[in-house]
Amino acid sequence: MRAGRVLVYVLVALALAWTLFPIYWVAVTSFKPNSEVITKPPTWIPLHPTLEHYYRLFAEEHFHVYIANTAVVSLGSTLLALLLGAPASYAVARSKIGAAAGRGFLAWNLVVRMFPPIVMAIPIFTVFRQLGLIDTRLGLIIAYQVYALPYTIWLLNGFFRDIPWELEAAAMVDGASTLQTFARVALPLAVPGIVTTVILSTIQTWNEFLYALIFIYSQEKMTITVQIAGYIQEFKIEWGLLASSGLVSSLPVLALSAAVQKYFTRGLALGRGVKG
Amino acid sequence: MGSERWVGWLLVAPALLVLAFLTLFPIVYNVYLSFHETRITYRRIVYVWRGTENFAKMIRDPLFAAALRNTLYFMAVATASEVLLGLGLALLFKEGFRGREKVAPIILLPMMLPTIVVTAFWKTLLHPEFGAINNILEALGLPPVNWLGDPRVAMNSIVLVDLWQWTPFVFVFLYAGAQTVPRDLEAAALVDGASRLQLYRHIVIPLLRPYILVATLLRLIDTFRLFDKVYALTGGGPGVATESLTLSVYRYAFNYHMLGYAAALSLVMLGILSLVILAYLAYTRGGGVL
Repeated sequence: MRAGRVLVYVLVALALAWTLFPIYWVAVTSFKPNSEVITKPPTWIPLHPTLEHYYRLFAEEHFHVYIANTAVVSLGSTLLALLLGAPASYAVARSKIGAAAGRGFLAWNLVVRMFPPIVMAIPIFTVFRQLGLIDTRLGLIIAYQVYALPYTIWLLNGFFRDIPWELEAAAMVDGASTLQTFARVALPLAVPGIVTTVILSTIQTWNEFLYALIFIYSQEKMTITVQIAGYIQEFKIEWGLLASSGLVSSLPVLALSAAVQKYFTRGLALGRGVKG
Repeated sequence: MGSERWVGWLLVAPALLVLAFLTLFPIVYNVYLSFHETRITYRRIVYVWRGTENFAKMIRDPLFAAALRNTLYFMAVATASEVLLGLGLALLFKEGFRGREKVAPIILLPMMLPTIVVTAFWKTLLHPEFGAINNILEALGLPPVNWLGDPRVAMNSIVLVDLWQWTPFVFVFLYAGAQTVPRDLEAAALVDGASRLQLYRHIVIPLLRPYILVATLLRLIDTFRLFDKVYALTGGGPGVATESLTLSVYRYAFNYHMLGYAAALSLVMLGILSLVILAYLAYTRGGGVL
């Protein structure tokens, strides 16, 4: 039993080291001057700590522009998904369109979440080309509904179901219509669920790469993921830029994730398959 | 009740229309495209009927063969190792140790990071000369590995990066499942003289089976899409060693403008994945509660 305990702690220590070492190493690299990055043996703590990479990231690379673009696109697509998805998921959660139709609608949303996104990219691209939506933030926001809308509908459907039905029934008895009940009773009660959904959906679009790469061409409209992919692909490896841009763009999502940690399994399991 | 229904459909209609445009239309249009060759002119696409030529072409296409082989390999190896390691971690946490509640969120960090950021991290770590991993190997007296440049190693390096990022997901999923194992059942088994190993083999793991299965299916669905990591780290190379299905469809459509062929390929992708999707739906009964 004693040996078993020791083994448990050794394994936990290994798991922690494996998880944290890459993050630690990149963080340290971001504060090393270029000359120190390639010294042998490598330094565990920067001998000459510097902020030059962060300075360069914003002053020369204008990284704040990409952060702003990403924020606009991810918040925009999340809000659009909410606008479209909240009424739909409420109607389904309260069986307004019949149980069978509701189940079918939800199942379709789930299946769409599982489709490889590249499959939808070519047709959407061709239509956007005709409509002049290529290389616009609005176009990307609409294309992101492929991810954001089914996700929002699934999560919100669960949250609406968790609201006690009696309050809405009381409002109905008092003569409120379905629309009024939805807007004045259900929606305010679902606010915690809506906030969680908004956060989880924003994280996803913040991290998205494939559609951002396909639908945006102009440098000034690019999102962070496409910009970082550019740094990764450069022939002469830019240690400082890779490290600093990676850390800077992770901070917002890490903060958001911390806020919704207890819902994380629920969000990642594509819906309510398993409760987190 | 009739007007009630009507209002319900009114609430669903906007979402339904957008979803139809974003999902049903693409499938239909892909089918149409897959039987044609396209010529793209300014603001116009000319379709030329080609019958089943696009599908016949796949059989002779070495890039598609490599992409299919690599993607299936990546799915199998990454999913299997993530599920095994994630299960091990979940059981370790179930065993219990001091500070468990503080350690769990740290273990989850990698999956919270954007995939492209994870890729950027590993690009520096796997650098053949100055990367931290080879530095460690060197310090241990082991020969350096050309992680991304050696065609025999490159795909496994991509697996390694995925493993770092997504094992935490399987862990947290199974750990949540492990909480549902009734305590008295474990206690009873131990009282009856079962060893810890027997307890896990005959009680805990069988009870976790539904969670393990769903985690496996979710990882299969996600690994099937492989794009960000290979696009940025290796560009599918060296040669075609890390070419993936999504990457090749992307290439054919957006670099070579062969929309018909790319559409045919994406239908094949959908066909392969629908096997996994059907398994998921059958198992969770329409995605409902487990």
